[in-house]
Amino acid sequence: MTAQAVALTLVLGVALAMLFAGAATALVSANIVKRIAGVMIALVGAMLCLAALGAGAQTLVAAVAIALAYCAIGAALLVRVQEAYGEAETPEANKADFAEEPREPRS
Amino acid sequence: MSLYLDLARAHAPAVILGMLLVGAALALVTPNGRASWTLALAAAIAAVAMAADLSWRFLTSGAALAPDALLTVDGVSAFAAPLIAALAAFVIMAEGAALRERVARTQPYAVALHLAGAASWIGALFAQDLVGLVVGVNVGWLALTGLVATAPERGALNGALRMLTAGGAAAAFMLAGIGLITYAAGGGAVNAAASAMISSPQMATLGFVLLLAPLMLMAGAAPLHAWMGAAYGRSDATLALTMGALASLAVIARLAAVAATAPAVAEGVSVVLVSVGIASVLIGSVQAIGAVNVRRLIAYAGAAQAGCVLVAIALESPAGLAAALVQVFAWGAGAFALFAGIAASRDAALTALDGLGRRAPFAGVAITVGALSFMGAPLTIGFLGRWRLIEAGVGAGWWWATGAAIVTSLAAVFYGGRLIERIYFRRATEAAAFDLDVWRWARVPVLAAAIAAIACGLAPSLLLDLATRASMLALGLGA
Repeated sequence: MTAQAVALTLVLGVALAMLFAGAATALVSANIVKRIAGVMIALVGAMLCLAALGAGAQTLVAAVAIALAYCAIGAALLVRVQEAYGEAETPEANKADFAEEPREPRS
Repeated sequence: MSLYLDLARAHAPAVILGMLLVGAALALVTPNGRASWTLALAAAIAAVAMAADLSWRFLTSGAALAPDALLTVDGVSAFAAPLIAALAAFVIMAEGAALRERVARTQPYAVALHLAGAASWIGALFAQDLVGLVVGVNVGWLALTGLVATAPERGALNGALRMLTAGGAAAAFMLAGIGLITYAAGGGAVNAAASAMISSPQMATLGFVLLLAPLMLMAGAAPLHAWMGAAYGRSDATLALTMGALASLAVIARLAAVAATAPAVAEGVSVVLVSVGIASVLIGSVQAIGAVNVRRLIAYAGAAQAGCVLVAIALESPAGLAAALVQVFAWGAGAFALFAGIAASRDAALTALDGLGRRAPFAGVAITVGALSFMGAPLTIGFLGRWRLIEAGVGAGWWWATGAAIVTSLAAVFYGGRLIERIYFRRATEAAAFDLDVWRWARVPVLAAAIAAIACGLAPSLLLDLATRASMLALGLGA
């Protein structure tokens, strides 16, 4: 195995670890800030993966644009959720939403 | 004049995209909500005409685009583009009935986001390379997230947040996927895997799986649909229509086109499609049976329909792809009838449908017809979709695929039957919140179109012929 192949494997390993760890955080974390940070980590992992695999500049620019768009909309949503629910924790927001759910019809 | 028309037709995909984007920009800068809506509707109708012309020319005579065209067209995109454009036009038409529920200054934003979302999905359909596909799908997803966040109910913010996090994670996987495919196939063109020598089949398979799984998530296939409950349950009826009929269909059509271009790694991709497809049929059906929120019920039923489409795509044959396209059409028509029908009642609880057949007969008929189509009842387009899936499955020796179709239909009898029973065999127990605004008539053409689409099951030859031609072209077999 050449040094280049070893380096590629290592970088890919780190990128995929960031990708999966970020995605897991984004999907299961209770705190909204952590969720958005998880999305960003996953997207940075994806960019690293693209760079390691020799993707062109067009692909990397598209990836950066996508990451910025998610970051901007995520930050805006974070502010709106904080204003609407008074906190940035998803279990509390879920609990408040569940209380407003229609109940199962009796018959 | 004729010269300009020919030029526009030679660059039709870019012109369609331009019409929608210019319409969105004009809608955004128009301060009045109704004026903005009128402009958006005009742009969407123009895009439908252009997409229908492109589709007809491409599927019937194989008309080619200009060699320097910015976007490309294949069988699946030619079949799906007019469908997506028409759904977008009808969604915007229905938005006319819901516009007053929004704060006045956000009305132009909502209309523009609808159009921008439609433009993105159509752009993703016509994309020449995988980067264009990923950008298009994600811009559409973010437009949808923005729309959900602007819904009047507070809980919609929670739904939008789930969409954002799910979409962000999905975008990361998609980007990693195109990196792997480009590396393994030596190019990022949509059909790279079909034409190139694959240097590492395992890497290419992993790349396709990482690309297709997020598309399944965005199409609402179970078990990747954790975002759906909050997003559908808390948004309004028009948004549910946008998510359940327009966005899901556009994404799954794109997924079908990508899967069709991966023959070199077909086996690995097929296993993933089948696994998610079967899981989606089972989980979606169970969730739809247990749902008490009508919008959620229809969304989960859509997940079951998506499962059938995935199984049909997994067959990797012309008959399977044609069955998938017919299923996509049937799913779109059924979801459209159901979501547009329940918009007549302003409450999303199942009990709000009690006696709807007397209060809003046309909406009642639309829901009934949509439910029958989801069940796969004879003479509806849903029956044809199910029949084609069974036919293609048996042809390929996949006898168990008939099980997926039967489970979907049986479950639909339960939840569809519940809807029909409440509409016609119950009396409203309390004063139902009912839409009496004059703009509610904007939904009438939407309901009529949905019923007409489902009635295609009575004379399906044109649709079947187009689906067959589209699948042959998408698989590079000629028409």
